[in-house]
Amino acid sequence: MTELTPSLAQSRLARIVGAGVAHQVAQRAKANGVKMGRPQKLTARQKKEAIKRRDQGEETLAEIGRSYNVSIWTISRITAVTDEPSLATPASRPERPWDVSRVSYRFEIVAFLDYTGQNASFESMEIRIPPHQEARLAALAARLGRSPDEIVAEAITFWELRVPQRLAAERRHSPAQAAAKILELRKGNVLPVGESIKDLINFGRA
Amino acid sequence: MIFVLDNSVAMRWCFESATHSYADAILQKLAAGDDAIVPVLWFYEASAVLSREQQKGTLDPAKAEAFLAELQS
Repeated sequence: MTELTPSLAQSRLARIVGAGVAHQVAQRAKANGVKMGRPQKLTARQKKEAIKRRDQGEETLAEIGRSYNVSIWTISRITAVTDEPSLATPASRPERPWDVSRVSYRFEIVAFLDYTGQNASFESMEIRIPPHQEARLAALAARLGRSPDEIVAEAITFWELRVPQRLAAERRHSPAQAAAKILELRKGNVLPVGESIKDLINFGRA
Repeated sequence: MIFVLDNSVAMRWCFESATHSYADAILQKLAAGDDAIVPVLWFYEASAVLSREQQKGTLDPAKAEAFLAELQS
């Protein structure tokens, strides 16, 4: 399959927040009594209720969001942080593979999506990385005397340069073999009752 | 032949309960050597769908990863 658009390096994707530095600044501000962040859209009680409703599985996230007059993304974020002990209800939730590591990556599009012709790019993106990686990045930046932004941008550029070679190395299937593998992979994958491909696509495009 | 592949077709390849003769015919075209083109956002869209199904426990993460890898091959 072929991508029509330029690579990520050519797009305007790349303002990446240096999370380690931002974290230190935030900690200092909090110590001085500054309240950080936007006001919460839902109360703690509403959040717990939303998580419970999600776990019951009778409503989609969009439906839950509408009932609180918030977006699906708000509900998605809230229900995604149930790893926090105060909000989690382990007895009612099936164990999921990524619960084991307790590491989560959250990508937030903090500005508009600019779509012009064949070029689509994000105005900016915030990437939150686990604390140990923040620490490594901060230490590396301090040692090199460079900003975390520069280091991450450079790492992405190197990674992108390596992608074509990696893909070529991994491309050991013929198209027919790939199609056969896809058909094999879909065995046993059953959508929940009442959920259609249209629902999935609408979620992906939301 | 080269054609533009819609995500709603490709996602039907991933779920046994959502199979469709048209989607399967498209997959066979690819298997026979036809080529599909997609915009770069296509992979984000597909990833969002598969990620959501992983979170709901409908799709095994390893399968989702393998599926995406095959789509890119």
